[in-house]
Amino acid sequence: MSEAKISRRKYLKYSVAGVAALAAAAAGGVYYQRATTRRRSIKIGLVAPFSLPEGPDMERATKLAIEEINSAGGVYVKEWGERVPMEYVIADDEDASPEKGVTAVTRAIVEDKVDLLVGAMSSRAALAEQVPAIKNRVPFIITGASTHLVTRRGPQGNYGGLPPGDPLRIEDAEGMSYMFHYCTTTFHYSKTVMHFFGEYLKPMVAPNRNFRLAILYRDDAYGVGVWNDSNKIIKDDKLPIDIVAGRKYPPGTTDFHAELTAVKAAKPDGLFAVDFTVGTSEIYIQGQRDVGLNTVYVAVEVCEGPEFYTLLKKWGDHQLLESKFGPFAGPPYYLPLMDTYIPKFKQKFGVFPGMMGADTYDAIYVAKDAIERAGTLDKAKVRDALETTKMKNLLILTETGYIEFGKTPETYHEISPATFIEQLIWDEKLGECRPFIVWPEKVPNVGTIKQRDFKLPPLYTPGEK
Amino acid sequence: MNILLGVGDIITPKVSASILVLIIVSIIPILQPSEYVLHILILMGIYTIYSSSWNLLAYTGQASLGHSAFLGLGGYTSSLLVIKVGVDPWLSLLAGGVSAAAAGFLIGLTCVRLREWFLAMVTFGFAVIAETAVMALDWITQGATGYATPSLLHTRLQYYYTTLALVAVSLIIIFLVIRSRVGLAFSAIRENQLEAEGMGINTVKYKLFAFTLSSFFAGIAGGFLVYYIGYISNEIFSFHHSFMPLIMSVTGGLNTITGPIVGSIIILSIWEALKIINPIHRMIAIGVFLTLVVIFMPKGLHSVALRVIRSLRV
Repeated sequence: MSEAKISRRKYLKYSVAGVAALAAAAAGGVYYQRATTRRRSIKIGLVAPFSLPEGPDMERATKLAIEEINSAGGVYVKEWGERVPMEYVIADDEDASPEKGVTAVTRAIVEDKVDLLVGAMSSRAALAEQVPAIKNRVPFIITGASTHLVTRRGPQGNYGGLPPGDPLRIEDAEGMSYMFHYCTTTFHYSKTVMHFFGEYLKPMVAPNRNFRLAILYRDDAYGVGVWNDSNKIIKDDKLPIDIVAGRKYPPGTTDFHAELTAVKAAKPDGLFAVDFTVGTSEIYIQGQRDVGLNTVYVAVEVCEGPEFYTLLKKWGDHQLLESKFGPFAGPPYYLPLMDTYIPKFKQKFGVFPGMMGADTYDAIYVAKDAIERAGTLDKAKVRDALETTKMKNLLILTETGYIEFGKTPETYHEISPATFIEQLIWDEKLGECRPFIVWPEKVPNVGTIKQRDFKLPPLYTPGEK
Repeated sequence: MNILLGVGDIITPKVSASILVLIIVSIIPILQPSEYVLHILILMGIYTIYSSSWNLLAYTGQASLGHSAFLGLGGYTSSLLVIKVGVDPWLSLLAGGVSAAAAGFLIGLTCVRLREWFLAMVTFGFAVIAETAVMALDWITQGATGYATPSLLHTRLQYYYTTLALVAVSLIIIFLVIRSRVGLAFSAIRENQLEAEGMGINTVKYKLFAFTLSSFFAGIAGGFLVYYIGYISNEIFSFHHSFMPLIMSVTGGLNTITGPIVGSIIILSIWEALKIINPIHRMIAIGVFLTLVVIFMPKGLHSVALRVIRSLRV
């Protein structure tokens, strides 16, 4: 009987001990599980077109930024009390089309569970891609689309001028607040080019009359956006410019002889070529070599990449490029970070960095900064932190010297980039042109960026005597 | 035209299998797949309708390299009718199909007498014209910028079941046509047009019918696609959209009902699954896969599945 009692006691003891051990193990397991689920890497979804040259450039820049961040210890998340690494997943929108973009972004949000999205290149793709991000409340730093609608199609941006009922309007104010635009818009670069022609070049080539400008542009959102904004800027800023020829052509065109012949007949003082790298270089080459249009050519910053200089060869000599990131215009460079970024990029990937990648690189650091200030990966709090971003310029110049997102309807969640004009000069040794910043002289909070005076191309012929 | 055959003729083992597949795909949402999986399944459904429409044309030996014209026409007609005229979205979807069918009929009138690559060239040209027209009419179509389209449904689940219903209805209609005397005429024309004419088959009439019906389904697919994606631009006329039904039909199995289904599922699955690897490697892998299919499985993956089933029976 007593033995039975003892064994029962023993049994009870062992049972209690067993239960306690199990409970401890379970608690440990739960704790461990919590700890492991808490400590995880931060996932960035890179929205980029890998069928186009810009996609790989964006990925290289992302890889570089994330490697730098991780090798410096990662991102400090206050809520977890520790630093965690960053990683990225590719949301490949292939040729930057809406359908593929929506699929890629949906996958990044739903399957890969990204904390934040960065990238997007073309305007129409971005306008579609941002919809799943808006719906799922994922912060999206859009680094490529040149249309201002990506942040102004909601009530905060006063719908960007879209009338009631316009299908592009988004009434979801809360969702729109997750959208940020770290990019130049068609307005920004049109403004730089128009002011360069109207204020700087006009007195030089046409002191007694208006500057005669021709615009050749792609018939897409980007080209039409530049066309509309250029006309608006000339009118609003009362610039002494007459547009004597404006010709649009289908995207993908590579034979510009008909357009250039018509432009030549209009006797322009300058030609604004609005295309991507290949189209623009063909306009420069065919215009001078085949049509004999000896004028000043200026292109848009999207051409700022090694391919442009390779394609242009000597035909780029003394011609112009509007830009906001000049990896070839140095050393010395106008921003201190470029001193390390450009050689590191070249050493790591064997090519010069392009402009699209530079935007993306900055955006990764903007994301890191916002997460650290938010102290959490809670998307609403990261969004709030992004709204109050104030970082010193990294690779992209801004008017204030800081990266900060606008708050008025006209600047809602946009940065205020400062762009400049480069003149390309033939380098016999390299067998390629190299650019020098010729305008403007200074950028606020950065100082002098001008590297040399502009010189008219040797064969330049003004439109009218 | 004896389109409807006896019930015994229709409820074949293949039809029973199709019903089984339909039941299985109907209960997929019960397994609570992610929003992304549903998204891919919806796209597979839409592409099944689209590639089946292309395949219907192939039944008569005709090849289209510009089928995106009908996809786009359906998309633009449907969405513009809703946005600009305020037509009921469901009605507009039908109108998109009808407008594509009307265009298909008109194109067919001029080119059904053409054969093989000549017809392909004309359809390709039509896609170019359609895209140019959309760009030129930018005051209404927003040109290359495109515009957002209103939602047809509220949730992804609703889209999923609607896609399923559309696929089922489309495939049943196509199946009934193929199994009817019309389908026999299609096959006869495909095998030997001169002989078919000799047998008294009005080849022009049948080819025109195939063209019109094919365009109708492409238009329906286009309308539904743009409502689902929520955006339309001239990109809908791209080569990608013109070649996709061809690739899907050839991969799955030309001139079969199941071919485009298998092709849509396989191609979209591979396309998505390979996204985990480097994009350049992905394109190479897809290229190699398509080459291997054409060389070693000219009758498509559908035929491999059939062979496996037959060997199991033995």
